[in-house]
Amino acid sequence: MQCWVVQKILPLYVGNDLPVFRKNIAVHLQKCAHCRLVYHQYQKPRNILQSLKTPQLSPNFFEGYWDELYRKIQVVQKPQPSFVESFFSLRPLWRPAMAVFLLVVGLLLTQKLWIPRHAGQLLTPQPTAIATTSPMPFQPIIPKKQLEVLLKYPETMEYRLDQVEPLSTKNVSF
Amino acid sequence: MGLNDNELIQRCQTGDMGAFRELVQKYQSKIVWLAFQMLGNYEEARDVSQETFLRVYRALANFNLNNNFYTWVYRIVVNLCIDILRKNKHNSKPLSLEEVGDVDAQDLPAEQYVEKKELSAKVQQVLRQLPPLYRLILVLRDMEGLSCKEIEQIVGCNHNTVRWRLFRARQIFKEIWEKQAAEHPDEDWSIADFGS
Ligand SMILES: [Zn+2]
Repeated sequence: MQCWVVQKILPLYVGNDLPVFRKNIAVHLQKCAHCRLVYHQYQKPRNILQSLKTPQLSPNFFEGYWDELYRKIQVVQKPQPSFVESFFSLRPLWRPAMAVFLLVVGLLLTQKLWIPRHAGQLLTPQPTAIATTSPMPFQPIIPKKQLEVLLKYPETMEYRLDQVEPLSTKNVSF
Repeated sequence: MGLNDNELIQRCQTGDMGAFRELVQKYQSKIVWLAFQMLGNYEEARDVSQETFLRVYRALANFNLNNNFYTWVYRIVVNLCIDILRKNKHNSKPLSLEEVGDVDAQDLPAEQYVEKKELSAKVQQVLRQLPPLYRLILVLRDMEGLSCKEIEQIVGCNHNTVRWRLFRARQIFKEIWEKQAAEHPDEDWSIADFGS
């Protein structure tokens, strides 16, 4: 094994972190004084690091450590208040304001959900009726190509009309 | 004799707060030390350690006893530290001997004890000049004595990345140490035979 190769892999060899060539390196180190010197230059710092394991931190450092942690744990553990509990935890003056706010939000939401569905039912005409009567106020959406065929060959009208898909509220423009 | 990790965890899982306290006391120094190695600041390291234990507490109910507890905890610390390092462009201030903590050598004769404390400060000075992820690998492998396999799990990197970082970290550490020794010939940067 050449010196430069040995010296290149010594940083891993010193900590037994090299799975291969261990025997070759050991043999080389026995024979080569220069590589042995480099080996010691890596080995000594490792020995120092090994000797300086986790230090004993001063007892003051951990003073109140557990109490602080315990307080944090209690905050984490505390169950989140339910909706009703949070409502009654409000100041008395804020309660009516919150009640009105919730009422308004509730009304707006139900209106928004209720109106279109209802309007849709009222405004959705029968597909045949729409197609045969005046296109106003709601025009069926017929694909352009289909419309051209209908206009060119009106005799196919009946057949074609059957093909027209029933209107959904999505296609109705208000 | 104290309970082992799994016994403590089992007790924690039944809601035994005393067992959790024991677990915290067992690992608090190591966690703070590891966070300090990455952040270079004891105050931040203390905060990170508290956040780590808080996360441990919240997840402990679902902890699988077949897994290694400290690998899992170390992984939480490392991730928290990496987040902090990413957020702030971290400036670690120079360390005083006090900040380094008390080296684990009280049983040594006074002279050797001081010597070792100074050596510890020098090691910290050199470590601080390593990129945080390289420093982390060196601390876990050479100071904490964890295996490369354990480090892979903690750092969330594959085998080759861990080896490569370890290789570079040892190279850089040696280079910086030699440079410091050359720059401060008045100080003793010779490498004494501690623990060899
Ligand atoms: Zn050689």
